[in-house]
Amino acid sequence: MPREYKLIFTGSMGAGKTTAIAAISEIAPVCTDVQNSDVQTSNKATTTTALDYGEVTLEGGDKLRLYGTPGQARFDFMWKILGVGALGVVILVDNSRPDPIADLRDYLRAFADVVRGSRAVIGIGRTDTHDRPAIDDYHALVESMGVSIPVLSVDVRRREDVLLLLDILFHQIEAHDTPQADVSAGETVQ
Amino acid sequence: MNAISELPGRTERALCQKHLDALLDAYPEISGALVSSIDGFEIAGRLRPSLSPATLSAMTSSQLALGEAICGEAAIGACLNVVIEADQGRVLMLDIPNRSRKLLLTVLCGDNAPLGSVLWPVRRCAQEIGKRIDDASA
Repeated sequence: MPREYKLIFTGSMGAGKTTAIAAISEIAPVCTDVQNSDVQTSNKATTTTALDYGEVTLEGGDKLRLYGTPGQARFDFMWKILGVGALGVVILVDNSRPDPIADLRDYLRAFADVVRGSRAVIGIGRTDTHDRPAIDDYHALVESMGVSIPVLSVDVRRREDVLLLLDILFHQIEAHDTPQADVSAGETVQ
Repeated sequence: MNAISELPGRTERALCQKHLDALLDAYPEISGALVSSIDGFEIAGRLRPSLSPATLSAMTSSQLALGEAICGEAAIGACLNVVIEADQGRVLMLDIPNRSRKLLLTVLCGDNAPLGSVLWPVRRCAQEIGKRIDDASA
C-alpha cells in the first residue's frame, strides 16, 4: 500500500521555494503568487502569500506531497498551518540577502519540531555570485543550535539539485529513525 | 501581476479610510473593516483594538490567494469573494477592482445580520474605493 509523506519547503522571500517545487512536481504546481509591493525586501515581481503545492512519486510508489510556505514572517501563521504533520523540511537560503545566517536561524527556530529531530536539509542558493557566508559558516550555526543537519550549495532551478536535497533529507530521516514515519531504506526520488 | 508595485501613498490611504469609516458608520452590524495590499500589508482600517490589522491583512492575502487557486483548479473563473461563517459572526474578503493596483477588502460582521444585507453594501464599498483610486490616478 503506497504511503504519502508531507514535506515542507521554506526559507526567505526569493530563496526559490516556488521554483524548487515547480522543478520537480509531477503535477502542475498549485501556486498562490501575487503582486509584490514590498520592494525594500525584494525586487521580485511576485510573491507567495498562501502556499505552493506539488507532488512527486518515489520509485516504490510512495508519494511526496510538497508544500511551500510564504517567506515573510508576517505569514508565519501559514508556517504553523502547513507544518502540521510534516515529515521533514527543506530550508532554502538566499546567500545574496543582507544577513542569510540570521535568515536561517529564524527558519530553524520556526520549524523547531522537525529540526530537533534532524528531519531537515538546508540548501544555500546564489553562492556562485555571493560566496560569503561560506557553507562552513552555516554548519557552525547549525552546530551551535545543537542539531545535525546537512548544508549544501544548490541551484533550485535545476531539477537534479532539488532531487538531491530530497534524497539527502530522506537519508537524514532514515538515520534518525522517526517513530511517526517508516520511510523505506534506499527509496529514491524518480 | 508582472510589474513591481510599491505600496499606496497617503492620498490613497486616506481615500480608503474615508470609505471604511462611512461603511462602518452606516452599518452598525459591521464591526470592523480593513483595506490591504494584495501581498498582505495594511493600507487603512478600523478594527477593535484587540485585533491586529497586520495579521488580518496577511491572512486575507493568504485566504484570497488560496481562493483564487481553488477557483483556478475548479475551472470556475476568477474568485470574487470569500465568506467565512463562524459561531459568532462572519468575515467577508474580496478584491477591490481597480486599474492601478490590486487591493483587498476585509469586513467583520456580527451574526445578527443576514449575509445578503451586508454583502451588497460591502461590494458597493469595494467598487467605490476602486473607482475613486482609478479617478485619482487618471
